Amino acid sequence: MTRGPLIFLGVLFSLACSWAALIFGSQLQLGALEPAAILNSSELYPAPRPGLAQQGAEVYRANGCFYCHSQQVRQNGITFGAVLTDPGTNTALVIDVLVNQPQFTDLARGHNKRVHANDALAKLPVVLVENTSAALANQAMKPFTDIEVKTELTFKNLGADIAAGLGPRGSVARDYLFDNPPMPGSLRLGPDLANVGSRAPEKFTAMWSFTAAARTNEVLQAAERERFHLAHLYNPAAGAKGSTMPAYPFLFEKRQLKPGAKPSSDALLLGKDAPADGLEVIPTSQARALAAYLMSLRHDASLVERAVPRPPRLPAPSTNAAPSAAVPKQ
Amino acid sequence: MTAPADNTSAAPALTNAELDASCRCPVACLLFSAALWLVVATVLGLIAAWQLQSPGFLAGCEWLTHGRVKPAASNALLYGFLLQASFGVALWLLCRLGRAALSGPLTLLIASKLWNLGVALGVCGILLGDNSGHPWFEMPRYAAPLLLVAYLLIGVHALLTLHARRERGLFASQWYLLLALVWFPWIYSTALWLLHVHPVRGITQSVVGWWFTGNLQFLVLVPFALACAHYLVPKLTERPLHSRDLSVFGFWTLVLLGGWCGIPAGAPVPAWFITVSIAATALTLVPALAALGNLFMTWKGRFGLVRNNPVLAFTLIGLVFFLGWSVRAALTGFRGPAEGLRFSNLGAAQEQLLIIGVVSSLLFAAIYELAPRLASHAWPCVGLPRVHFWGTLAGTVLIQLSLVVPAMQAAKGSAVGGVLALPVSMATMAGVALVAVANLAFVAHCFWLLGCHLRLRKCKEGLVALLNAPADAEVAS
Amino acid sequence: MNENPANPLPELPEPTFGKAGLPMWPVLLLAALFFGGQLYMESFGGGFRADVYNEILNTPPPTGDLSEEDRLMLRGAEVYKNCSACHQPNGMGTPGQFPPLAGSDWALAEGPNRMIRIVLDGVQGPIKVKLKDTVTEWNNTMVPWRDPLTDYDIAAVVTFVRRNKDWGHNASLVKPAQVKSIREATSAQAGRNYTADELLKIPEQ
Repeated sequence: MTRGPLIFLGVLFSLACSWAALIFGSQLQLGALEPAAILNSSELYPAPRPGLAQQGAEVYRANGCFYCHSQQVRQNGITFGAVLTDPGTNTALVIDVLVNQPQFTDLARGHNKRVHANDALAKLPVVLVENTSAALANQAMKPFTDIEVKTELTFKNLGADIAAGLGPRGSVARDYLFDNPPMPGSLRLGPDLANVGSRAPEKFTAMWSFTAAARTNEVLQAAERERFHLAHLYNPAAGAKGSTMPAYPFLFEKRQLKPGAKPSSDALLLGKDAPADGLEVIPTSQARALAAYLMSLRHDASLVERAVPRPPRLPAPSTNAAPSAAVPKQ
Repeated sequence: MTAPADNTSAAPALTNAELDASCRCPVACLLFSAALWLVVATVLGLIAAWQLQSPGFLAGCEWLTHGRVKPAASNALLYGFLLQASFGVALWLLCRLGRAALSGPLTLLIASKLWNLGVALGVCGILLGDNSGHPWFEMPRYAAPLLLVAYLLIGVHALLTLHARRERGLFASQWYLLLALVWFPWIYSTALWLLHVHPVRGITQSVVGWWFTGNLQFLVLVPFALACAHYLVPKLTERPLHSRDLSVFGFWTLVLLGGWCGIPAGAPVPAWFITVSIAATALTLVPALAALGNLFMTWKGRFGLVRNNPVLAFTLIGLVFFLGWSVRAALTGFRGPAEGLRFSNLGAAQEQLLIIGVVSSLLFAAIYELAPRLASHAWPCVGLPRVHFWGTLAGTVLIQLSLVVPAMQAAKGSAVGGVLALPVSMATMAGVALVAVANLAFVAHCFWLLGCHLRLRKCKEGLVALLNAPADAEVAS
Repeated sequence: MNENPANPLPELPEPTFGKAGLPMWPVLLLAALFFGGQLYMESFGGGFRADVYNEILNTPPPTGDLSEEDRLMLRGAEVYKNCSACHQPNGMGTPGQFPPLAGSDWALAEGPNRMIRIVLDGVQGPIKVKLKDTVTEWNNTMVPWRDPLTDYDIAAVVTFVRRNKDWGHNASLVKPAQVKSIREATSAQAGRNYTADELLKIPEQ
């Protein structure tokens, strides 16, 4: 090891290898990603952010929000199951096959398995297996497919983040397609923001809720979300006691109200935290942009790489069968 | 540049004093700039840490909001202090080990100024809001050309000094320095190109960012630190480095494995990226243990020398923290532990440990060794190095314990992943304050030493000596 | 070389290398970790694919949203494993013994009538198979699959052969109901193989 050039070449070679695999490899595999169709729909995902939300991304970046907030949902596995969705007309044949399922074969003596199977068929979908591998779920579906009874493969996304309600699936590369730069973050001093655009108000770390009028009105919901984000940016401690999030008063203006004039429609409704009489707090365009950006954050479209579970497709309820169209997923 | 580079017989060998004289001005300039950036970073770091305790502190000021002060502090520390001090120490080590005078001292002075200008522009840019969005690479694009040009000047002259060496055999430190000096411009320019000039699409930017950070840690900062350790331990214990073959082994395994680390578990990228990074990070235990084993065998039996010797004291804690950092990186990289620990304060603790515990400590050790040689004057105070040492040690340990213990308890608890990282506690603040006091003591001591040197030899004479250095070295006194 | 009388600070000599050799433990550790690392990458590498985010899988997970054709093709690929012993996994057959399916006029006929019958009850004796430009003669026995395979399986494997993109096929789908009606209509044929002449008398649709 006395020759400098040899060391230089060795170092360069090794560097080139890691560059080739990680940088070039990622470029080959992910560099040409395009928006893809959402499963069961013709919409493409992701859509480029509207202008105001894109400006909001700049504000998010400039103020270093990503140092305390992450923007990725992690997933740790997936389990499968199978459900029977439509027994068709030949119920007897279906019951013949159904009684061989584990949940019926394990019934104690004295219980009439066919009666139990018949009762099970009254409440669709009938769970055949759950929390197993895809191969076993497919195996469970096979005898039913052979007699042309409709079954469906179901699945559940696993992971601590998903269990904690941060999102219905883990984030994938396509979610960040139009982020420039993507800011997945590395610390959660504040909650994860990947799905904050679609998160229910009760699930926020600084809990709040829609007004009664907004519960059924999506336009009002959007307005209330914006109002929440703006109020939270102005004074985080008001909504979340003991929060370590700094306030961003420089994103807002304090304007003098003319005596007797009503507050403008933009003004924040701050209740008891409002500034002194005669002053109203108006969000600047930067604050609005940031709020629009936060409201645009969602990683919940169902994609081929990672799908979101949906309810099984049941036949239209007839007057005889007990309808269970809104049965939630297993 | 003096005698012909390739044959050792012609000119007389240079003495230590002559070598030190040739690199005095540029190395001192780099080190003092680094010291000043250390002060800036310390102040900004204190503000950032205090803002985690009391979020209202300076929140009204747009340029001093937490999200801007924090990256400004980390970039000032990384680019302003760590890298610049590393360059200074590297140049001195290359001179000393190769027994060749430093090439291009005047150019290096200019390079140091350019680097400072670049970092200043970058840090101000961050405070003004031009954060690039990538951790450890936040400086805006307009700062980058200055840094690149400055680095090119430094790198070229370092290589020229290496090429002009009289002592043809390369010691372990020189391998590590060559590694770091070659690797840095490549990863920096790649990151610059793919993140600023022609930004790649979507999450591939984050992949580039993670690659850059991982390579910066394992193949730039760690080699600078190990170069210092491999020089100081054998020299000051007056023993040969235990095994040459083991150091070759440790070097090449680091080169092969270190570049693949960096992509965190759970990242929104295809699974194989994460798997490769986890495997590589676990494998980097091998070069770490090899280097540490080698140094331990060299030092065995003479650990008592640590007493009253700040150089060896800092080297020892640097190496112990390096062991802890490597083991922790290898173990917590796996998907299982990462599930609970990824977004906790453990990541911050790892960064702190590397930057303050490992690299800074070893650089401080090297500076305690080389500064008196450059100044031709011993360190004036005995107490300040003690303050520096104990402050750094206590502060680092306090920061680590206060960040890691709650993180691990939270991870073992209930809903991992959704749980917020526990806020920084007063213990962490105390640790940060201790490290800050230690750093300020060090900087003050450096300026005191500068004063002693200037009194010893007026600055004007020094500059004349610098410009006449080629002539002086020929005429051996 | 080390002491300059003008320099008051004492200094130790520069470091040098020692004589010890390479101990075995780092090499063994590297080997063990390398081996473990390779196993780790094989098991958790997600096949090094761009669309696999779940480390224990090698393909993207099934979503349950398959069309009827996709399900038939998937099942058909599985059932075809029974056929690949003779007709080969690439559908090229065994020269001199078993005819190819890829490009065969029997597979790509307008309708699946003849193919379904072949699969149900087998065929023996001389048979001509026309590929794109050539006609080849074969003379062998194909076993019947009436009993081992269900209607769905037969529909799946015939669909698989008729619509296999790797072989360039794009013929029509086969539904289990079609197989069922042919099975019932030809129950008399059970146990007796067809000959090529008998098959050619049956309309394609």
